[in-house]
Amino acid sequence: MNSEDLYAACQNHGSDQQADAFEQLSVFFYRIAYAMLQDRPAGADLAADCMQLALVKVYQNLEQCQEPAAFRGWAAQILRRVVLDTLRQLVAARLDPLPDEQSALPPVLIAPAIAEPDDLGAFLQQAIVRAPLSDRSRRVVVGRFFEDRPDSELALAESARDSQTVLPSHIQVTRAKNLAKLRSDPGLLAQLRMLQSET
Amino acid sequence: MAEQSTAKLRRLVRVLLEQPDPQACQRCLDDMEAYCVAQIAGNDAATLLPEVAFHLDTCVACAEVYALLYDTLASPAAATEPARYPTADIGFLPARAAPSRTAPVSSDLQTLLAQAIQRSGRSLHLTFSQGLLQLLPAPAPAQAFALRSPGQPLALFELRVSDPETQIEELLISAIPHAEAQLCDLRVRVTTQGQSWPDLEGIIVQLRQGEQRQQARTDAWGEVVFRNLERAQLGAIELSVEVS
Repeated sequence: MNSEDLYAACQNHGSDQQADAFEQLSVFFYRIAYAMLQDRPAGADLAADCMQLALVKVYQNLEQCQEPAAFRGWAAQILRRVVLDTLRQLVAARLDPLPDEQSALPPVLIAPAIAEPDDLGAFLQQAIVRAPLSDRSRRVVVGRFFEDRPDSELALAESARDSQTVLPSHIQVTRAKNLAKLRSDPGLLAQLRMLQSET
Repeated sequence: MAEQSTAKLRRLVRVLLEQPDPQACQRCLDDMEAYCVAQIAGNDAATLLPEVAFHLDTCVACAEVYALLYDTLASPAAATEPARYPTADIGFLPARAAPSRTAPVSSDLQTLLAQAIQRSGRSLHLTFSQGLLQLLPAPAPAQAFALRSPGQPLALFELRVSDPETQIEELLISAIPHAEAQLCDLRVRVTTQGQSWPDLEGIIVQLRQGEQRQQARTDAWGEVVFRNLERAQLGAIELSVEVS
């Protein structure tokens, strides 16, 4: 069944065709959700929940599909968004630090307020050097903010260095985690706030 | 050139000083697919969608989710085929012409139900009785709750109540039998007017069965499950739903 026919069947309210179309969509959805979630704990169950929720959302928003010929793609977007929402909640719950973890971090940097742009660069670079980051972690932060290199380029450079495939997505996650490490130092943040208020 | 460099450094300062913002996460999720598609196509996604790029640097959870989406979109062929496909619950679709999905409500049942319901403010109280239970229809297959436990047994009964006074669009109560004949779970799903998933979380549902009292809050689906209830005592249940 092509997308247009599938869309027409989904809109055929109260009919066997509608039920068959949603069952067909459920297989399509589960395959995508499973691919995204199979490596997570209880991934198959999560995928089934996401499939179910996405089916309901598709049904509730059928009228919003502007292009019946692209219905499968439109529906897949809804499914992926449901998966992302679900994962976002799971990941956030896992990442929430215990209060003790935050307060136990020692200050990384103590520096005077700096107002000049050149000094700001030196200040930030010093913070990055002194922070507990690996060399690769430093490179992905410096590459973005000091060298203005896109993640695709940074990924190629890291792939060549390690002779293993590094994707732009790996670069992004690495950088986000390391920026979070920098952010966890209250001394550094206090200095940055002062800098920001002075300029 | 120096100005550009300063702008980048100021951006780093902003990234470091950014506070967690759930709405920013939602906006990021909205545009995440477009960001990934642009990146996979070789375009400078960070320039096209700077707010997404900024947020991904400030939020580890969104960055991890982005990585999953990127990997999925970048190599769809790498996906593994599931060993089995669960059966979807399509009970949300309108009933087919025949057979009817819900048994007709008898006038006796309506009378007993009206007697069983009391209201105070925005709380609805429902007092079960053996007479009421005997009149409740058993549900048709695949018409109960959303797919949470595939393969679960059919409910002993299913009761739907709609009460505009307390803004309850639908209160669906269903008793799911255990393998042990004397026990069951009571599933309660509340839908309030104008609200749907995931805004149905937190509605207070209280259950009283003899001396036992339990209180729980609904999940995002508006659902609460009271477990291990005596089936013989179902006729003595009192249920309260408090819509805030």
